[in-house]
Amino acid sequence: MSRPNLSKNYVILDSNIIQYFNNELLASKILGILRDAIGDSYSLAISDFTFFELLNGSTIKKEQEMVIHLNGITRFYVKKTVLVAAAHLGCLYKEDGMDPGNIDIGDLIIGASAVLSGSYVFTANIRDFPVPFFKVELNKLIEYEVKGAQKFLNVAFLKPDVEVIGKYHASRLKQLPLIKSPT
Amino acid sequence: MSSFGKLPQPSAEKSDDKVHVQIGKFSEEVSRKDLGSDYIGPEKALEALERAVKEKVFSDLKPRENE
Repeated sequence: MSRPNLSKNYVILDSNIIQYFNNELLASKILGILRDAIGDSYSLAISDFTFFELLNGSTIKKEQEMVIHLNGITRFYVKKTVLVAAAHLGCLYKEDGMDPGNIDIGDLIIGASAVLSGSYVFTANIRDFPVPFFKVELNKLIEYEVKGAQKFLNVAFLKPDVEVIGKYHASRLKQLPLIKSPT
Repeated sequence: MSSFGKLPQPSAEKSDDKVHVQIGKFSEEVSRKDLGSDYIGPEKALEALERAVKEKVFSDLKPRENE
């Protein structure tokens, strides 16, 4: 078995991007944007949390099909370290004045994977990854139709602002009294 | 379709160094290699998604209508 290679550069697909693949025309526009943006320099990944979200509530037939097709994409594991980083990210948003209830746990997990791996997140809702810890690199408004009705979808590539995250994290650590390691 | 734009060219391939996750004042080191599954190149990953869309694998999914 070949070793994983996370020294490569990744774009992590937010769950909502794949959920919009239910519309074939919209999916083809989104995939065109992805192809243009990543070139040969980035590959695609999803978080295991997205895998859970997509499978949750699906029929057994769809579950089987999704498992087979999603095997063609690198997956970021939801390990303890990712959960800790996701919790920290939530704490930093709280310190920045945001109501923790407004931040989805799945988005924190996907965001933490992006922070730890230095990846972009590709999302259909930039409010899922708000400032100051994520910044927009590219965004595009896609026009599409559903049953004759014109609709618009804003998609964006976001990058974790590791400098700002580091600054907030360092400031948070200063609040902690020095703890001695148990001997 | 095109003209959306490209993501910036990465300056160099990332080293497979450790990343630090801090829990309070203690920090834990994680190898980037332990964060995910095997590397699958961009062409294969896009092909997998295109094939899934063509075969209507995601047809039952419902996006949250908050966008």
